[in-house]
Amino acid sequence: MAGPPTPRPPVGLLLLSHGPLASALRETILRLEPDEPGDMGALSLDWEEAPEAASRRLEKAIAAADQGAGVVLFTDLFGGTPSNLALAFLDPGRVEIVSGVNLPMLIRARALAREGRSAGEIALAFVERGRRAIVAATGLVGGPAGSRA
Amino acid sequence: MKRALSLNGIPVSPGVAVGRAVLWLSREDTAPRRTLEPEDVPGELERFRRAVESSFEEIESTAAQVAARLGPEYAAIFHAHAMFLKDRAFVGPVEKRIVQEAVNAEWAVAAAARELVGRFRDLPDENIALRATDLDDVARIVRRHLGDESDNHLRVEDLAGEAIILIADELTPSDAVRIPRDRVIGFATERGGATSHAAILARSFGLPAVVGVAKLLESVGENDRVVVDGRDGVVWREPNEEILGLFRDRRADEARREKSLKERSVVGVAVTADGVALTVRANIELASEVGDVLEYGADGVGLFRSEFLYLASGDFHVPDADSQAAIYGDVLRRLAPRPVVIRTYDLGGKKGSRQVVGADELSPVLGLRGVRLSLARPEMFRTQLTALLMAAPAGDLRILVPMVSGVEEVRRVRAILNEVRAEVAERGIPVPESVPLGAMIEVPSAAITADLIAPDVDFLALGTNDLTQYTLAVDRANETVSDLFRPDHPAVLRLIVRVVEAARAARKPVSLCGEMAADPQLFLLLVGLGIREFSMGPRTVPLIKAIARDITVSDAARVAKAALSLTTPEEVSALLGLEARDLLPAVRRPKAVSA
Amino acid sequence: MIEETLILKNRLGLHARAAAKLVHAAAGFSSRLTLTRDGDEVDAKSILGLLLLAASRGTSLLLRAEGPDEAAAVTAVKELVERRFDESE
Repeated sequence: MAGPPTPRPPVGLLLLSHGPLASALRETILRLEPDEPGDMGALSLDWEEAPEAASRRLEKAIAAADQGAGVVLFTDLFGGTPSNLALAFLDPGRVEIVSGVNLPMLIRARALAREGRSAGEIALAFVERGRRAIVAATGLVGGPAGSRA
Repeated sequence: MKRALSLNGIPVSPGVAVGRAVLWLSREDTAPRRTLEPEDVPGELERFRRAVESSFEEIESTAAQVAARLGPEYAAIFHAHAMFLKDRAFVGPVEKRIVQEAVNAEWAVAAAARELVGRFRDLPDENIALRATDLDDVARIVRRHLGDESDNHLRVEDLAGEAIILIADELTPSDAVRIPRDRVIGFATERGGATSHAAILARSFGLPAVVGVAKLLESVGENDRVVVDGRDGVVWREPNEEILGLFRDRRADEARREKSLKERSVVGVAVTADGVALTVRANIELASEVGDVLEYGADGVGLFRSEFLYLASGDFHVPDADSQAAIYGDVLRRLAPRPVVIRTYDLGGKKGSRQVVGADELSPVLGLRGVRLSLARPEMFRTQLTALLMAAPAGDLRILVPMVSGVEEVRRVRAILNEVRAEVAERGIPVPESVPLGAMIEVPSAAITADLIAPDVDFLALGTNDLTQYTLAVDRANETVSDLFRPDHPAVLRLIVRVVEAARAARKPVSLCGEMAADPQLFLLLVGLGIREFSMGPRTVPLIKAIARDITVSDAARVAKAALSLTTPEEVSALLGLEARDLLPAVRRPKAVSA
Repeated sequence: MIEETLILKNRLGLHARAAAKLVHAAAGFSSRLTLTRDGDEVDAKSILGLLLLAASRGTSLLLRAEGPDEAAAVTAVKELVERRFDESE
């Protein structure tokens, strides 16, 4: 008979935005739920930042957020620079990207990660909510069904 | 169907291009290798030296054309290439190989270049490592002059099809400058940096471009659909509809903005917020640019650089009066009733000097050029004046004389013009009573004695590019001093004021046709200094007209007054930057990347 | 023969523009001029040589001059380096 499964590390969560939005969201969540375990990364890109430098910072941030089970990146706006840069790191199942981030979404994501859901499952959870402004990138590149409700 | 994929790189030229990939790979090329008989070695050395010499001339000639087309600072790239040809560190190893290995020059050049290029690429400093591309470019030119056909470097002339996005390992400056812009709409390279010359040229051409894209060549295949995002530095391979939609939206936005600027531009002369009319005309070099003048809503042509008609063909050749008249007439007709200011040949200096001047000048920039050259070659000059007068009835022609250094030259030109007029009239050809004759104020002596010149001309045109150069004693194409070239230097500003006052006193119009007019902040300053007529590249006309409508002359005058009390160009530029935040909020200064 | 140690002070070190200025300055003298860095000696009149030194800010270079105008040559090159190649930083 098999023993209890080895606990898997939770999926990493990383917020990405123009300006201070990402850090502000993170701070807000940590204050709203101060007793819940699990931090999230926040990368705020300067408005004047050169894209190639931002891309390098993003790469480091993704690596830092990944605890072994992959990462879900939440970006502020599909089509904005942060989202465009993030798409180069898309790796369905391991690095997922969801755009159009908001507070309720992040609180839910944190809960899902705590439950041990995979990166793909977490990303899909938001897609199924069917909000027009929200896009799960895996769907764009011919990933699992239901890219747009 | 390939999976959609995006790659990040360095954005070097803004805009979005959606097209089809054409791969441009410099394959490992092999120069032919021949072993020489010992007695043939000296001859081979000589052949090499001659190839270096002719390569040098070709590069200098390219530099001259690029200078006329894009501006002297772009020509600096090619002057730097020419410098490599004089460097023992390049020539020495080649000669050594020819002698020691008794091998042909093509092979020696390829081998020596490969070794040097390798050493450059290994350098930690990226900016210096980028010079490897320049070196490669020069070596290929020398090999071509040696008759080496094995260089299978794809030539731009061979590209077929439309909406092409060039995907390459890297682009040399020679390649970049020859890109057919009607068919290539963008490019991406695996190598290269923001300061590589291809990047600089991409910006001046307005071609979206991204460089330094890791894994580009292994990810993009021939004919793949590709999107180049010159804003974020992203290259997409086979993007799906969602992503394409995003870029189409962005392109539509940009096109809308440009169209609205153009529409407002075409509507007529720009009037400032406090009711002062500002005329914005276009600088052109080729008759084919007349379409741009109309499309971008310029109020006419403020400077038609007539010498370029012949320089562009590569070998200078003065066509007869009838051929010239046909070209001038065509331009005048298509633009009528808008005025067209045609500048008589500004040859000499770095433009086609050897062919026309017939000698190697020590200091071409200060030598026989402009009106001096025209006066020294009376047949050539009279032919052009005849052609201009013959064409004059077709529209509103004004004749501008370059490089005037004193009123004496103006009087001589007017005398010749009157003689030519009489001759033409005698032949029964209709000629207007008088054609306005103006002097280009670009030599300091002319600026300082503008009060003596103004009474004898019908208009004045400030050529601030050369005026800045001569006043500050800085050769703009000389890389070692080009940072000292500052049109916002107090000396230049004071000369501008002097010329404006002289024009006012003599009641003659004065216009400004230097590149500084196209810079929004400097434009504001110039309006404040009293300039009301401007001329610049056609593409910058809509933006400047839009700015003109947003500013007031009284604000501009206040800024100018403050600027005139400052002591250095840096102070002026800082003042303008500050004022621009309030007065020119819509204009964001693009990040300057030095060449 | 004169030898003098120079230290690069400008932010970009011996980059393309600075190297070009140095070559122009050196070319005016008939003396043989070289710059050495960590044992690598290059002709100061060769732009390629100077670039390959890849000397950044803070690097110490040994300037050697030999010939009839060696003193003037050393002074000229030294001043150019001290002036940070007339760059703003």
